[in-house]
Amino acid sequence: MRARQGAADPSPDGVAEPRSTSSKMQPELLSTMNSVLPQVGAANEPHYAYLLLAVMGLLAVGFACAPLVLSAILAPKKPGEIKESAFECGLESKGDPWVQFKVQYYLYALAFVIFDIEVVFIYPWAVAFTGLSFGAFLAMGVFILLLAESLIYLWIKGVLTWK
Amino acid sequence: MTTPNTSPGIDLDDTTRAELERAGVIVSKVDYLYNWARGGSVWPLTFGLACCAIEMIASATSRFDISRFGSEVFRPTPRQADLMIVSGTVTKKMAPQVVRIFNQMPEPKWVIAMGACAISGGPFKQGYNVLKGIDRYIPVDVYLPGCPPRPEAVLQSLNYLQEKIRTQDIKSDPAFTKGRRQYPVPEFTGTDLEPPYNPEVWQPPANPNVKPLEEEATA
Repeated sequence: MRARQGAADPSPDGVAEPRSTSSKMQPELLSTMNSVLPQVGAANEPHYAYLLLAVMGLLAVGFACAPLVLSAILAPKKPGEIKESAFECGLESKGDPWVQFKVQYYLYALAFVIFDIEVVFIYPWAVAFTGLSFGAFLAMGVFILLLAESLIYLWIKGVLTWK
Repeated sequence: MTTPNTSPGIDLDDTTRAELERAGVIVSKVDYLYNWARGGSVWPLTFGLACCAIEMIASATSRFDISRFGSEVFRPTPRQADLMIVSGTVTKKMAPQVVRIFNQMPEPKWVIAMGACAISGGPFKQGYNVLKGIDRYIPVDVYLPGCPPRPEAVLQSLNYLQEKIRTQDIKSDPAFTKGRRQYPVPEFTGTDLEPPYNPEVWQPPANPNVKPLEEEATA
């Protein structure tokens, strides 16, 4: 708890007030740290919490990178034209994957996203509907009306028909 | 932990080995460590062809729990898999895809032919569109009979495969030596596969009714 708060702001209170910091630490964490660092015997010094964090971070990065490095060293490399071809569930790939999409698709997707987000707003509104004031009803009515209006505009402009 | 004394390079008798182990020294080969690690983390391909696939899936569930043997990580891409469980009937239309996926897996790789269909065509052997055994195109390491085999049998076949992996020699095994291994992908012509088999992997069994030429000559 304490270490996480301190991580955002390490220098001022962490170093200046070691006593108050250690008293706020969880007792189990403190005992674990004391057993991990017995010869140092100073786990109640707050910067050792960061040392452990740094060690854990190094271990995490090492754990993620070790398989990549080891496989690069140990794996037998046998490239071939079939192996290097794209994996499409065993079928041979046909055509160029770098096809261009119609720009109309962008408008279509944008309209979809707008109404998708609208639902996110309407759900909490609908759940709390009976407890809300008339003003909240009015505000949501204006919001829905604006979006409905834009939908009609899109419709008239012919965005909804796929050409 | 006792290490098997299979090394040709290190000639130690068992008493010396035991004494060393008591002193905390383990004498082993790189092969042993390498194969032990590989055998304990065989990653199968997420790949099912027919009803056997259901039993293969069941072997990954908590009741049978293939993760006890380190193989729970079914990979959806051949680039990360080293075991192909050919689970089910291989139709002639599907065979090119199976061989192509097998080619796309990195070395070393292994194959379990699961069920009667993958081994020989099984109950559909006489079918016009059924491949009579996937071993005609790719090398099969473990044949797992059954129609379909139970999940326990899948686990046992995995154990057999692990045993096989443990005896692999890194220096001489073609999976590790230099040189490409690529299995030609057959072409489905609409009625049959061309070529009908890969002669490097499979040869048709000799006809018992036809005597070999040299036997006739001596007789």
